[in-house]
Amino acid sequence: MRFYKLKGIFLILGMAFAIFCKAEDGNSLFTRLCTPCHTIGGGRLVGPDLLKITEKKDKSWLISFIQSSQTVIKGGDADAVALFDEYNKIMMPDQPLSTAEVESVLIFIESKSSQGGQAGTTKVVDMLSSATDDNIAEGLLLFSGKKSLENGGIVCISCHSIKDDNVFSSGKLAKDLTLTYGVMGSPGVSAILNSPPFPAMSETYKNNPLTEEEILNLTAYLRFVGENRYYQHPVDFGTTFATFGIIVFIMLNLGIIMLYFRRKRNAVNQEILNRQSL
Amino acid sequence: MDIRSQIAMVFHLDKCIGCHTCSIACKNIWTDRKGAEYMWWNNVETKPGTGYPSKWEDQDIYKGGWEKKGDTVTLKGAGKFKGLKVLFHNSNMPVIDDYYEPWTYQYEHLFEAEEGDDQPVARPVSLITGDPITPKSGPNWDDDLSGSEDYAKNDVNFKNLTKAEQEAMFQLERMTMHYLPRMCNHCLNPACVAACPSGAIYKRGEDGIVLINQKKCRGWRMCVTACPYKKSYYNWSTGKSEKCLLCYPRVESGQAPACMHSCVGRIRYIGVMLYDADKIEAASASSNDDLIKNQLDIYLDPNDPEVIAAARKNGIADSTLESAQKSPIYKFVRKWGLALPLHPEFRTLPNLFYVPPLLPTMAFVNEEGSYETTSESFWGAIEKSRLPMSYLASLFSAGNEEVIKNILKKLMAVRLHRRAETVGDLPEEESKGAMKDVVMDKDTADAIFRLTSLPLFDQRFVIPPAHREEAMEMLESTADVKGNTGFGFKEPPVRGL
Repeated sequence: MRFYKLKGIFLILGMAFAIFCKAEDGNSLFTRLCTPCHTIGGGRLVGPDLLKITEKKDKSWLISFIQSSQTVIKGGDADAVALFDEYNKIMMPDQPLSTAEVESVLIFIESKSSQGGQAGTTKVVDMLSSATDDNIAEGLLLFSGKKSLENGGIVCISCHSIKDDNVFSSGKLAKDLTLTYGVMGSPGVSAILNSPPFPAMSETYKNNPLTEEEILNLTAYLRFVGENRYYQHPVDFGTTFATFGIIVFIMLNLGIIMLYFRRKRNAVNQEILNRQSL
Repeated sequence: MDIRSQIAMVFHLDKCIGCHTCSIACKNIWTDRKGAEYMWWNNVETKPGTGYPSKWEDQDIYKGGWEKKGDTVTLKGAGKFKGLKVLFHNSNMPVIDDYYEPWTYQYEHLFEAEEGDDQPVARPVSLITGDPITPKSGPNWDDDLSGSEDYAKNDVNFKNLTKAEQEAMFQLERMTMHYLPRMCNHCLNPACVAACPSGAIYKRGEDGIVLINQKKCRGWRMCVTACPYKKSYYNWSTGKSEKCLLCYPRVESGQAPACMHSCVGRIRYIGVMLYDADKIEAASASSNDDLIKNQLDIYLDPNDPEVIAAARKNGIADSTLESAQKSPIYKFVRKWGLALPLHPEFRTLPNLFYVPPLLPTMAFVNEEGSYETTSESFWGAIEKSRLPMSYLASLFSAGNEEVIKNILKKLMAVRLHRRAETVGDLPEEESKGAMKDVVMDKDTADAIFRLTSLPLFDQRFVIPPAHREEAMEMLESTADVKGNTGFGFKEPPVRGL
């Protein structure tokens, strides 16, 4: 009997601890993955305010939406499509989270909501109010990689392109960032830079985060680019590179062929040897 | 004066019978391996002939050796800039057919062939591809003037001869030939060492033997191009270049190299020479006329006290000096002035000297149909020789005919002297006159005769003690490892220790 009591105590303790763990886990996951775009009671940011979302929406719907929003939207779910349209068709990145992890995030949102919210960005203050031309210039240097990031992160231009005459030959791996500021605004952009929710970007900057100052400069630069995009005339190289490459390739080959013909290829007695073969 | 010691050689061409025993001795010891079958570190050529590899003497084709440029010399086909240009595309090397495609015979077929109507045969198969081939050329394909039309007539040394002279050389009863055994010259100014981009080739300090470090060699083959004598070979199996090492393991233990030891005609002499390393650059860059004189002037008299003192200061062992004083090479090259380097115009300062052949020069058929070996005007034979002087001059003296004539006269004088001594059918004034003409006394003539015809083994091969213990002490302090291993490992084994 005593044995069962003991077992019961352990079970209860264990469960309590598990919940405690889960809640903590949910908190950190939320801070890391959700705060760039969402608040709990802090108002709308890039995505909707999540205050009391668990009461508004079915839990299984939330889980599937969080794990892969695009699948739900493409599945033709009316609510999801409406939401997508309402928020400027900004894709919510798929979160590589297990169902249990999503549940823990939902538990965290629920517990926060019951306390009245206020997680994530509480007040939307435009951090760019004090930004100057210097910030923009510095942002260009950081974006184009002319100045390396302080914590050794990979420069933006490696993956992103942008419509700016000052930036030449940019990466095509990730999105074009010309319109990003217009869509997300400074809270969105800075939140993403602070803690990127996108899987590839999140992995990249996990160990080399951007500094506050770099975020400010880059956000200011992205705003500048967005506003001035109509005045930019990037050069269209068209097939120039390909043509140039082909010409160089042909010239190299000609060079190699010329070298080959300068080489001593035959025996000095080739004529004698040829005569011997019948 | 920067005096160093150098193992040098003399080949007495009048004694060479062209038996190729030297080549076989060398092959059996060193090049009887996969990838080395085509190599003949030592080979015997028939002159006139194109040699092995074909036309190796023609540096317009192979770009070997040095070129005079102002007060110094530059490599003709290799070196820093020229070498870099052709580093990945070594354009002037001999192809395998310039040597020959090595082959063997399918002997086992004679025993294992199935019973049939025909006698089984041993077909020749290539040692490179393993396919059956028809041998079309070999290392001595033009031996004894075989294929004269194709080979002997294309001899590179004919370029200074007029058409008529060339024609005359190939007339019946005027035709002549002699043998030319060749091996690495272990030059004082080796082009192979200068050309190697890996720094794998080096000239040993103690005796001047030129070696290729098989660990350092990266197979760039610049040495194959650079050596004007084409005595560096590329082993296609190991991917490294190889060359004659003057049987240094034998030399270090006091034995003559295999080719010399086995020489049937006893034409080969080996010994130490002392030379002044400071003179190398000037000598290799001398003008064509002074070339032969300056090259020989590098070698110093080992009996000169001043030379001995300077040599001792440079760390040359007394035993080496003693060997140098007894060296048959010094006698032939400097004391008697009978031996000349092969193609001095390549400017590598070779250490293999040849006593030019007298026989094809002096023997010609007179009007009575017998061989003329003497006459009232005994030098007439040399002037009217069957082998044009300019041909020998092209081989041994960069075109300087006077030097060749002088040597042939000396050789002839010794012959006339010995004939007067032993046969006594010559009037005394004839032999005396010949001796007087070349300024030679009776003792010298007898000494030349003895070293040429009746030398003892130890007189032909005067090899200095190697003093390996001193070489080791230069590399490491032997006291450091005293009592450590005894029987040790030169390289640590893969497992253990």
